[in-house]
Amino acid sequence: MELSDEAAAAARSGDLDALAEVYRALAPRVLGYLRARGVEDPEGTTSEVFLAVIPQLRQLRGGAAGLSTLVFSVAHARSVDEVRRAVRRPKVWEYDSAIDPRLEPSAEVVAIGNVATRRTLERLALLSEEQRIVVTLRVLGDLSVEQTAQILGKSVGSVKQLQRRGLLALRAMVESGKVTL
Amino acid sequence: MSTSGLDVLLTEVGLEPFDDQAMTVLEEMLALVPDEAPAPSDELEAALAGHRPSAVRTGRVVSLSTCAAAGLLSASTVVGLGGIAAAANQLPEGMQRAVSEWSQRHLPFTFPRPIHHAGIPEPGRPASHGPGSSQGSKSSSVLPAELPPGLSPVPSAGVLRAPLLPLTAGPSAASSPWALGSPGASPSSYASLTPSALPTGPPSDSPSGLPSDSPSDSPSDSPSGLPSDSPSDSPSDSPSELPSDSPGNSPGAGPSESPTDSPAPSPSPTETASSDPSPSDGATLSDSPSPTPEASNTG
Repeated sequence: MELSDEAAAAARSGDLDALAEVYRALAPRVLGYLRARGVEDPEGTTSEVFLAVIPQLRQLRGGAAGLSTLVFSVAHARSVDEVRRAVRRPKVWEYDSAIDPRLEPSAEVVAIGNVATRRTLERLALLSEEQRIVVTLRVLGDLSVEQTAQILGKSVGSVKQLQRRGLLALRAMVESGKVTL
Repeated sequence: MSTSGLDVLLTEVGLEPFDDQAMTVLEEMLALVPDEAPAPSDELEAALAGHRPSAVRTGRVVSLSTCAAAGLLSASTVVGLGGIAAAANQLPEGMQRAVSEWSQRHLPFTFPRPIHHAGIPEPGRPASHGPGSSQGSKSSSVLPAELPPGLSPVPSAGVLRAPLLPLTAGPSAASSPWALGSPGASPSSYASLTPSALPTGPPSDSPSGLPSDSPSDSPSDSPSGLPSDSPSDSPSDSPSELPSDSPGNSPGAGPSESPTDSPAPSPSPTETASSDPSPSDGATLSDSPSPTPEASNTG
């Protein structure tokens, strides 16, 4: 579902129907991005992202592209916060063979129910952090190079270089059969 | 991202469009994106319905945390500056005393008490004279005023003050180690102890009891018979009062413990420099020219 500039402008003016349309258009991509980033609760975080975006719609500029950039900027910030929080306070769980990823697919993968998705996550995990972010924003977020550079605070050339290296690395993984799932 | 978008992406990175392996990777990645939007949370659903409670709540939380941090910072600043001022003893008196007492009870270290309570004079402020400290300070403050006119105060010569103690503080003079153990300490011993205090000028400049050209007028002017410079000098002005303050302190009244009590004392350089026909070297400082053991021995 593509987001139009008219819908973005209507959402900016406070139209609730347009706001719901924006959510339906962008929420799946945000959810996919948060899944690829390994966020613990991607659905809940998706809702938090839009809760943070809605008060900022008044200052929105740039139509649908600007709204996409704003939404993924918030989503990226939340994912970074999630990773940092997990590093600072790692959760300790009692061992349960039912959730052991070495024996069974993780709960996230089970929820997704797709082996291809699990394989994709393992491939992305082999990329560097910046390559993974750029590739997922470009592919899953359907953002341009300029939008991705704006979200990450990097130059367009730097984003292009990261994107190129990331995609070549993923292709090399497929060629070498590094991820065999 | 559509298939055409993936082709554009592959072209950007220099790969051939419709590269099978690359397209496989990207299409599997797109499987992470669900077809439909996830169900919004209750709060988001309310927001999509037109309510905005989250923004207000978030702003309040941020403001509360900011206020708490600012309060903590200001409190720590006040405590730190107060501690520095207390350590430097620069707080007001009552506050400094309270901080000192509190630190004595609750802290492993102690802040100083207010200055005047500690008995330490501030720089530029005279020390307070308490009942316990009156003796020493009184003697030090009164002593220069009661020096004999011929004896200039020599700060470096601590021995100068000691023989003069009987002038100011009678009771303490006996206990002073410089009281020479007996009230009959010969003034000549003072001369030998303090050669720098000896008058070196001409006799007219130093009314220190040096024998002048004019003989003594009467014993009443100088009870000890010391020849005075001016017969009209009142007894109070005359340094010959020195023996009179202590009745038993007349020269030669008792055995003197001074090392100059030797039968033949060697004259000091200042004494020899003076062309004074004094019969006794010790008499230059003694207020009495009466025959003393020293004078009689050396005469």
